[in-house]
Amino acid sequence: MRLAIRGWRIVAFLIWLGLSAASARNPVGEHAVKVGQPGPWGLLETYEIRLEPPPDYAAAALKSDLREVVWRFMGLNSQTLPEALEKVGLSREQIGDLLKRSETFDMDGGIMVKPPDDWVLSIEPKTRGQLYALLKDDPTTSIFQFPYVLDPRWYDETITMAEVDPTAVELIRKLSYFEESVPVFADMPLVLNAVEDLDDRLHLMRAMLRERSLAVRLRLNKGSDLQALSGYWGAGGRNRDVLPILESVVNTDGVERLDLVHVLPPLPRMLLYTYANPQMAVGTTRPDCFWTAANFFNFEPSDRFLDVRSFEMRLMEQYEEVIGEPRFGDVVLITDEDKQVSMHACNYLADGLVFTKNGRSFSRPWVVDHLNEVQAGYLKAPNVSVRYFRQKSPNYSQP
Amino acid sequence: MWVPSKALSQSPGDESVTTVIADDGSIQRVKETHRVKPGPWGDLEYYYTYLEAPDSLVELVPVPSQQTVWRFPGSKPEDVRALFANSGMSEELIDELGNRSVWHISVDGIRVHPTDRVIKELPIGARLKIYQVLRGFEENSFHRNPVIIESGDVAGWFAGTGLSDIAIAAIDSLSYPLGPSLAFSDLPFLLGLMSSEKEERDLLRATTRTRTLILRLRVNKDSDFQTLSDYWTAGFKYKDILPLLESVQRTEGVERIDIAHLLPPLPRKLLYTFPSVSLGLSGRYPDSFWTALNFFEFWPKEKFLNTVEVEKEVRTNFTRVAPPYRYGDILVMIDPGSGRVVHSCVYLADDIVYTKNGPGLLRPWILMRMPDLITRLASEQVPVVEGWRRKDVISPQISGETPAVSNR
Repeated sequence: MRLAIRGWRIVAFLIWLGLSAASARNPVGEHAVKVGQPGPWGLLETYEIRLEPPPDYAAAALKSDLREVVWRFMGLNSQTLPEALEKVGLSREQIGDLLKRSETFDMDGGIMVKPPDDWVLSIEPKTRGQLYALLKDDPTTSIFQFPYVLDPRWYDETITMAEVDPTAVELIRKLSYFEESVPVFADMPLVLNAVEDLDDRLHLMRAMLRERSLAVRLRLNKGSDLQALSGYWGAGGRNRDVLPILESVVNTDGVERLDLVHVLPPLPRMLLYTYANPQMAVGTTRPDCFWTAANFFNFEPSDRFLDVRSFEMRLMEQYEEVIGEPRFGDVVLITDEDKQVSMHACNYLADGLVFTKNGRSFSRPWVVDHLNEVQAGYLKAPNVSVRYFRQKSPNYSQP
Repeated sequence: MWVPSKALSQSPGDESVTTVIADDGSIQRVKETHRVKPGPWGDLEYYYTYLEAPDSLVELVPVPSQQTVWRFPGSKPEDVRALFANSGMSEELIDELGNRSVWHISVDGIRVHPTDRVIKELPIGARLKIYQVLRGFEENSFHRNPVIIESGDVAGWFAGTGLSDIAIAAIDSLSYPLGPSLAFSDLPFLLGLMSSEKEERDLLRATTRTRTLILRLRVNKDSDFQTLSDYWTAGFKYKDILPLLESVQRTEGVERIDIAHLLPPLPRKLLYTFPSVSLGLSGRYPDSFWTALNFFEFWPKEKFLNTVEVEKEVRTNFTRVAPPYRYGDILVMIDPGSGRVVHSCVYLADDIVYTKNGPGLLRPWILMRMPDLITRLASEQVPVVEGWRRKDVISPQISGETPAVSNR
C-alpha cells in the first residue's frame, strides 16, 4: 500500500513528528483467555476477537467518507467564528492562519470552512475535541456527533496488518482525540484523500470498522451441575434446546468447553458476530439495540421493535423490573433520566456479559461485551440509569 | 476423581463410545472426539451429541395406537401369505399370523394386525424380510421411517432418556440391522408395555433421539487462514471469517473454533433445533429441500416448500457438479428404482453434511456423516447422489482436492 500524500505539508509534518513506517511496526502481543467468576451459569471464559465487515459494507462506508474536508459551523458567521474558535482553545495565530488559508463561505444558518490538511493535523487532541464539538450540528454529517470509537490498541494492531499502510495509521493516531478518555476519530475524509489506491482505501476502511467482541466458552466437566446449568441457560423454558447439548459435552471425554453459540436462543445465535443484512431494513429503519433486545427469545424477529415506542410499550406491559441479580435474557435498559429517553438496550447473558448491537448502522455487528464497557459509552449524559427487566412468565418469575 | 482406567469395549458402529471400568469399579461409558480427514476445510474434529424433541413438541403429536398394523396396499392375500411363509419364521408363528391375527382384506390391499406374540418372537431374518417389504409402502410410517440407532448400541443410545430397563431391553430385542445401524419399528407394541401416560410420553420423546455431530475447526499458528477463509466463506457474502480466525490464532489457550461460527446465519440459527411451530403457519413444515436451498439465504424463502419451485430453482440457478464437492454444494439423493428425488442436504466438508431428515416437527436440523444419511435413506437400493452448485457462488482458489462423498 502506498500513501499518496496530497501536498508537502503533510509529509513535512510527519517528518517533524519523527514517524516512519518501519519504526511504527510493533508486534501485537497475544490475547489471553480470561476466566470469569463461577455462578449459576457455571464458569465462563472469554477471549477477545476482532470482527471486520465484508468488503461491500466497507465500500459503502468508504463512499460516504470519501469527500472533501468541509466544516460547517452552524449558528456562526464570519464575525462570530473567530471568537468561538478562541473559546475552544485555539490561539489567535492558529485562527488567523486558518482563516487566511481556508476557503470560507456563508451558508444558510452558518458558515462553511474548507481547512488546509496541515492545519487540521496541527491541532492538539484536547483542542480538537472541543473544536469538533462546535461541528456536531453539521446537517450533512453525523461524524462529529458519533465519531469512530477506537480501542487504544487499534493503532498498533492495525500497523501489524499487512494490507494497511502504517503511515496512514499514524496519521489517524495524530488526528485522534478523546471523549470520556476513549480515543475517537472523525477525520476519515482527510486520511482517505491521502491514500491513492482504491483497494488501499478499502483496506483502511475495513480496519477502521474493525470491532472488538468477546468469544465466550462455558467450561464443563463431569462434576458440572447440569440441573443448575440448564435451569439458568434454559431461561424458564424459553431456551428449551440447551440441555441435550450441555449433557453431551459433560459426557464427552476431551471436550471441556462449549461455545456460547450453542446455549444462545436461535435468533441471537444467528446474529452473533455478523453484520446486519440489508434485507433487514424496513423503509429507513434498521435493526438496532431495541429490536435486538426485544427479539432475544423470538424464533422469528418482530419488526415492530424497529420502533422504539413499540419496544417501550412491550417493556412496560410484558416485562417486570428485576430486583436483584439479572439473569440470562433479561433486558438491560440504559436510560437518560434527565431527558427520560431510552439510550440503549441489550440482553444480559451471565457474569457481567451482554449480547448487544451498538447502534443501527450496518457496519456495527452483534457482539458480546462486558456490560460495564457498553455502559461506559453512555456516561456522557450526566444522569444515566441502568435497569434490568425480565419477561413476565409463570415459569420464570423473580425469586 | 473419576479416571477411566481400562477400556473394555467399543460399541460396534460407534467408535466414539468406549466402555471403561472406573476406579470405583463401576462400568462407565465415555465419548471421545474424532478427527476428520484433512483437506481445504482445515483440521476438523467432531464428537457426537444427541438431541431430543422438547416436551412442548412431543405433546403436539398424538400417541399412536398400541395395535400394530402391517399394510400391504395393492397386494393379494396369497402374496402376503407367501411372504410370511418364505420369511424363515416357524410354522407356529406362520399359524399365529395366519389364524390368530386379524386380517382386513379389501380391493385396496391387505392390512394385517399381528399378535403381540408374533412381534415378540419374530426371528431377526423374518423381521428383516417382512419389514423390508413394509418399508416400500409409505403407509407403514414406522417401517418407512424407523427409529435409527446409528451407533448400533441400543443401551447406549437410550441411556439417560428415562426409559425403563424393560423398555430398553424390548427395543434391543426388536431392533433389526439396517446397513451398519440398527432400526426399530415396533413402537405400537412397545407402547403396550407402558404403564402410564407419562411413560408413553417419555417413550415417544426417546424415539425422537437423533444423533448429530458437534464439529470444530482446529487452528494453530501454522494454519493457512487464507485457504480456510476462502473455503468457509464460499458463496456467503455477509461475513468475513478471516479476522475471527486471526483472533483465535492470536489467543493463547484457544485452539478450536466451533464450526457454527463459520456457517451462514440461517443454518447457524437452525442447527441442533427442532422446528418452531411458527414455521408451519403456511401449512407445511420445512423439509430437506427447503433446508438445502435456503442455506445461504438470510431470511428463508417459503417457496422452497413447493417441489415445483424447488426444481425450478435448482435448474435455473444451480449447475450440476461432480465430486469433489465444496462447502455449500447441494447434494440431491435419488432413488435409483423410481428415479424419484428423495432427499437433499448441504455438503460441508469431507463426508459431513448439514441436513434435516424429513418435514416433521420432530426432525431437527443436524450435522451428519454421509454414510449414516445414506443408510437412513436406503429403501431397497442405495440412493444415487448428485451434486449441484450455485451459479453465483464465489469461486476461491482452493488448494487440495476434496474427496468424493461416498455413493455406495
